Amino acid sequence: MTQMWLNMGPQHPATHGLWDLFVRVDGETIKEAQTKIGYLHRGVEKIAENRTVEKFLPLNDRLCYVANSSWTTLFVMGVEELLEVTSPERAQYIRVIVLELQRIASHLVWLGAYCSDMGLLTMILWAWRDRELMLDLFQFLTGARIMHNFPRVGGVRNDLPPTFRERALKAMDYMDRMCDEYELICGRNELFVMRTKGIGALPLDRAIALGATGPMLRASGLERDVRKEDPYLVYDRLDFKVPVGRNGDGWDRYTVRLEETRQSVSLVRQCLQKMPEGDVMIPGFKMPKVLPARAVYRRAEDPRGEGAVYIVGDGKTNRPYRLKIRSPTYIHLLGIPHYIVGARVSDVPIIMGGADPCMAEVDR
Amino acid sequence: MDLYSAVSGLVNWVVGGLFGLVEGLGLRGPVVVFLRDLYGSLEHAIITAVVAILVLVVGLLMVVLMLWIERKLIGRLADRRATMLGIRGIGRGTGAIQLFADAIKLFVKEDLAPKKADRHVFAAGPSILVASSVLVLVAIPMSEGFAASDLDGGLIFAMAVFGFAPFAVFLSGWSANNKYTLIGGMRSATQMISCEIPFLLSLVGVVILAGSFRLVDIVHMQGELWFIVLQPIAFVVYFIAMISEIERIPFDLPEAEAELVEGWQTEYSGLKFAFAMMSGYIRGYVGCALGVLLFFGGWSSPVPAYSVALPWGGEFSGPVPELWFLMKVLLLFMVLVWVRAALGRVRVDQIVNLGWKRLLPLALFNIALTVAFLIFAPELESDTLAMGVAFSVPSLFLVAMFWKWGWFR
Repeated sequence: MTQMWLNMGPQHPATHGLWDLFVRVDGETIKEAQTKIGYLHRGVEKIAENRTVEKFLPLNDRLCYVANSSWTTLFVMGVEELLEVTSPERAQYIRVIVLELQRIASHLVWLGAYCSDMGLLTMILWAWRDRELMLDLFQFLTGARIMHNFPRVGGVRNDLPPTFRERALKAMDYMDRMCDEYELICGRNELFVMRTKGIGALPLDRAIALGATGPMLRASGLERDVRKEDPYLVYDRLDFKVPVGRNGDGWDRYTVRLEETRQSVSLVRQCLQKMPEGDVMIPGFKMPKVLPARAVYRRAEDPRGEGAVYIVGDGKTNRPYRLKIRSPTYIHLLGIPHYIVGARVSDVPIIMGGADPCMAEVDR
Repeated sequence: MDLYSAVSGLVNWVVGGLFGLVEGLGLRGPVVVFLRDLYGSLEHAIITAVVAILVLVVGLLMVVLMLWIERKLIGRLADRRATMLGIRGIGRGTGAIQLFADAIKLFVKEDLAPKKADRHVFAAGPSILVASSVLVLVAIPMSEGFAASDLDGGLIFAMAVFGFAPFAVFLSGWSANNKYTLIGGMRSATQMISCEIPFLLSLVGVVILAGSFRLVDIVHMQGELWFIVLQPIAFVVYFIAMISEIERIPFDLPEAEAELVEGWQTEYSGLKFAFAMMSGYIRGYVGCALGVLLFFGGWSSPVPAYSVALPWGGEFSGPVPELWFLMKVLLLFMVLVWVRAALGRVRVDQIVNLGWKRLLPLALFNIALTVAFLIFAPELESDTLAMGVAFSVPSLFLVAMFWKWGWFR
């Protein structure tokens, strides 16, 4: 049968964001695939070289439109390491709360999109309904729903509002119940299992060769989490499990991410309990006029995998000499053409969605 | 009294009155005589046309109702309110006029066709689809009287016309000169060859029990016990294959919006898209109506006969049978909506597996079971019904065990 090239993007409902996957199909079977990215390139890394650190902070929120604060926090942690300052403990707890709420919101968006890829449109509405709760909490805490611009070098912008604790605990109880409900409509759903088991399987050796991190790597069966290995903020004082899959297929990616959501709920609870009183900014801290002439590499567990920043100070200005952002999904996306071969056209959105691409972060 | 004679009486009364008026005015002559002769020769055609239009209007009204039910119900299942459009006084907040707004919008949209499309086939696709969908309405009786026709082979006719749509889908998918529509059309053909056969075979048991292809006879045979009790496996196969035939989730592969944009409908706009959409719902109505006729006793009342004396005289002994029929159809359709909200979409190789490896053996097994039952009880009488139930319950149990063993995966 004649083979043909099929565009899965950039203007296609299957693409999670603006990118292009060309697949060569023989009937319905995929023989070859190529990716094309760069539609959303804004030159963020170059912009950073021309801005002071404070002015660059809000742009970090734009790095990923689903997990905004995780990138800002990562950048702030990098700068703090460069300046050799440590933010107060309470600020670190607040950052963890924001990061974990962000992870819950991000995984909910992923779950909704993943289910809508296989036609289960009820789930996307449920997931986005519950994400609203997280956004409400963000709005209460930071004043913004998506672009929070919340962490600061030396702490966070403001303390928790008076009733935040109660509201957050209530939302976390609700999320616990809802996770069980997602399990009912997805995990116990015959069709969901049919469509995800064995689809887009990424064996562990290939996942490592590819450089996969985060849920993608853990679904393949390696227990690796930056929060455990290289603890930052207060993660070493918190108790959480790292879920691990077995085959690295669509099903494992779902189970890993759902379990991570549950762990995040428990992390938020722990933070709210253990949080000490105190300042949220280093008292009297002022951003120095000069960044030291050193380089730091700071990594953190983004909802999508291992994100990292490499910041070089030039010792003359307070603009980074060079900023390199390691985006986890960039690596996952470039791996898709390797493990999509042999799948069906119907599986393309599921395999693409399994990597949880966030194009703003990939193209930077 | 059936629909034809009722309409014929009405039309004859109106026309006779008109001619009487003309004659009463003193107008006589060759023109009036010619008109009388003309009417005499066209009478049958005119009455048939009126009957057909009546049935079509009822079918389209059902489509409107079903679309509204689908929107509201699926909205509620997804924890939202769905359409709320209404005008003051007419169903405000219920979305009652949303469909009419949509219809007007689609009417005024530009009718686009791709430059390299095969224009004639491209236009023929939705036309064939709508025509074949509407044609099935002819064979479906809503009660003993309310039917466009009372064919002896009504079931065969309905099935033959019902199975025509994948052809139209395939044509329009190919003619649009688009890769997504081509794949959608191919999938429609795949789906037809995998689910059409179990769909037809699932009806054989019912036909054996009823001993007739006439839908009215089949309904009459269910006077004491609906065939859903005697033929549970047949209903399961029928229901799954029917969803595949009418191309709804979980079997809406030809228009899988996640991977194929909008499948075979991608290039359609305006009225052609409206036709494609509408025929889908007409087919949904037809599928549910056939299900009700074959398995749920058609228009027979589900409650025991009763009669209540009305305060203004007379007696009320239940609503008209047509109403029971439509209510059952809508209930069955609600199950379809529920399925759509709860399930995703299967893959194309999975549907072939399902059709050939699961549904086909089940349908054949059901036929064998029915024949065995008829050997023990050649006549379907009230004292043999217990035996029928005794046959159907273990078979249902067997299917449940197959399900549990993961045979359907």
